[in-house]
Amino acid sequence: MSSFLEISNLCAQIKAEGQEKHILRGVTLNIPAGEVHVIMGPNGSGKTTLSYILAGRDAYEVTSGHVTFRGQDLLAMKPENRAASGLFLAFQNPIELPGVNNAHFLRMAVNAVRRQRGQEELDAVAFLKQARKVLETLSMAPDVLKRAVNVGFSGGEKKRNEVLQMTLLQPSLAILDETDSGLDVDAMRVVAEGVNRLRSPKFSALVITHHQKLLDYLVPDRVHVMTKGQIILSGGPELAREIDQKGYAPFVKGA
Amino acid sequence: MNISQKPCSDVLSLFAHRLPKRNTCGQQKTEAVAWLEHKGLPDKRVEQWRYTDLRALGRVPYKTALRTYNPYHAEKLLHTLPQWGEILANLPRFVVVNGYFDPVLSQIPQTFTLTTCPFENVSGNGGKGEDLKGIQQPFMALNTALAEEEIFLHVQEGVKVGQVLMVSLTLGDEQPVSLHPRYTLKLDKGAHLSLLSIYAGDGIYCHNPVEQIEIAEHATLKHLTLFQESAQASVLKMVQARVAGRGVYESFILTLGGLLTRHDINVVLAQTGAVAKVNGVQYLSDEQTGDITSVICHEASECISRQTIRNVLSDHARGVFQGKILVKRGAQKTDGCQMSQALLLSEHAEVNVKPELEIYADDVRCSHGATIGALDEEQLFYLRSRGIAEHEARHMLIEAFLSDSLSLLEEEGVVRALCHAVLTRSLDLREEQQS
Repeated sequence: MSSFLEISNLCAQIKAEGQEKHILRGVTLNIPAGEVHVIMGPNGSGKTTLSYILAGRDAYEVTSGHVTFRGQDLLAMKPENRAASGLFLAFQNPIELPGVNNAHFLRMAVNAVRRQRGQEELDAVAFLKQARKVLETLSMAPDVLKRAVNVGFSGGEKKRNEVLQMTLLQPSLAILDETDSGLDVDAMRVVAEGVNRLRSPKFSALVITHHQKLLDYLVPDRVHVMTKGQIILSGGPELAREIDQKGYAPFVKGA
Repeated sequence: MNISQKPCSDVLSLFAHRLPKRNTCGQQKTEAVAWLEHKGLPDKRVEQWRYTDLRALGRVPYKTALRTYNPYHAEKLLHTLPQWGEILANLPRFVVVNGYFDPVLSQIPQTFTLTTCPFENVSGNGGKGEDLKGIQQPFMALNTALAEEEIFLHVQEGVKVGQVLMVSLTLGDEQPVSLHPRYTLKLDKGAHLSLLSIYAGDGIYCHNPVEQIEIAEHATLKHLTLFQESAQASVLKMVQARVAGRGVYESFILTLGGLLTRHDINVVLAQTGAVAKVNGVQYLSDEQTGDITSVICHEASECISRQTIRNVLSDHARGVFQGKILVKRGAQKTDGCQMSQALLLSEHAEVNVKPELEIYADDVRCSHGATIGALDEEQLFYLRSRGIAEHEARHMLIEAFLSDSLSLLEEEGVVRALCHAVLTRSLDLREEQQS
């Protein structure tokens, strides 16, 4: 049986100042349905690039390798179609959209995805009811719906807004790019609980993090270490604890 | 460079056959005709007209727009105005058709007076002729030479008029017509007027209005002008405003229609504490040109001026903003600020921005800034990564930029609702054409 998400030998580069910079140098990774995997690694190892490429950002050029998601060629799909088929990226730095009302944005997104999934669209009332319910579980003030998307949000509010979107869009694969960074312990728990609530045999997650702390709340099935555009080591949850104590250096040397 | 080698008088020839003979008309017209015959109308070699090509006026001479017209035609056009049925028809209003006041279509409230007179007799209306001495602007001269009627709106001391609608309709013929109406708005001490002007029309025409505005101490004029002129129309508009102590002039221009729209605005902050806000949005597509050229003159101390001009341009559209802040000697504690923001939606669209600060006082705060950009790739990707299709994402971001600019509009209620509706409608239409 083919895996839920299958990344094989993925290579990618970016053009910066006229020069090609290789960022991914053959990433291979399988995530079965229902599992939570973690990627750790030093800054600049290509973790965010991987998440962007999976979500469909076209600033990168994939030079070889392929990605299958639920049996489909993921790299051939438009970003909006990837979202509809169940992929969600929680941005490391959520984008501000001045002049775009958050409630309007969320409803547009939810209905766009529902349409593509062949579900009925939600009217304003039904949508608000649902959104308010999720807000409560994330300890968010209802007024975030009235504000412009992420504009003037604190770091924590932005991250929670990502979890809010994730919950409403009901993905089958969530990629969380340092969603815990810059959060205090309480906020981190709220975020982790947000993800835990979605956990089911039909939901997988790829979590990019630097902190063991998050993994206390969000226990992963597998942990991968990425450096210089490759996955050099994989293991169980204990690998994250080991890295937390010893740093990346011993693992990078061994590679 | 074959553009600039054409003789200056070329554009003037479109009107020359109608210029009155010198000295057979009054003194103002005689002076204006002399000025025009001497200087002609500008081409792109003239600094102030570098970015706006008057060849858009075409090659066929303009006939006089007629005072007599088909009333059904005017009525029909009136009903095509946005939100006419819901909002506009209920406002007190004065309607001007082909440059002439139309009492039948108008509904003037008791709170102000509106009078008209043949242009040559204007000296009776409070010596406004004085401002014309030393004409420096070609379309001021053209208006003076060809104006036939002056429309004079007067709000007396302390009267708060509230929202008034002004509609200008031009009924273009098969042959191009031109109209040169002259408006004078006078607000006495402490008076208050919110004016919403809508310019609309059909056919080919050249609209050359001049507005002279006098705002007395502690008086406030809020003026929103919506240009929805015909797609083949040229507008060459001149505003001269003079604001006395603690008076406020708040102007907002929204340009959507017209092939060529040039808006010249001169504001004189004449006494201590006067305020001017000259904001605007030009949302243009196809081959449209929109030009806002302003001079804000701080003559007295503690005056404030604010300007933000936004351009949203697609296809081959061109936006121009030339803004000058002039601070005269003795205008201490001046606070002047100018901002230009442009969103270019096509690689062929163009924006030209020229800020100018000329300062002769030493204790002033003046600033200017400009941003130009396409739609933000990261913002687009963010929306698409949430399942929103690319064209919808573009639509959302353009709408956000446009509606965000309405935050400059301090008017609430009717005016804001209208602007919002107008912008959304034209966004929908334009995006539809794109796809």
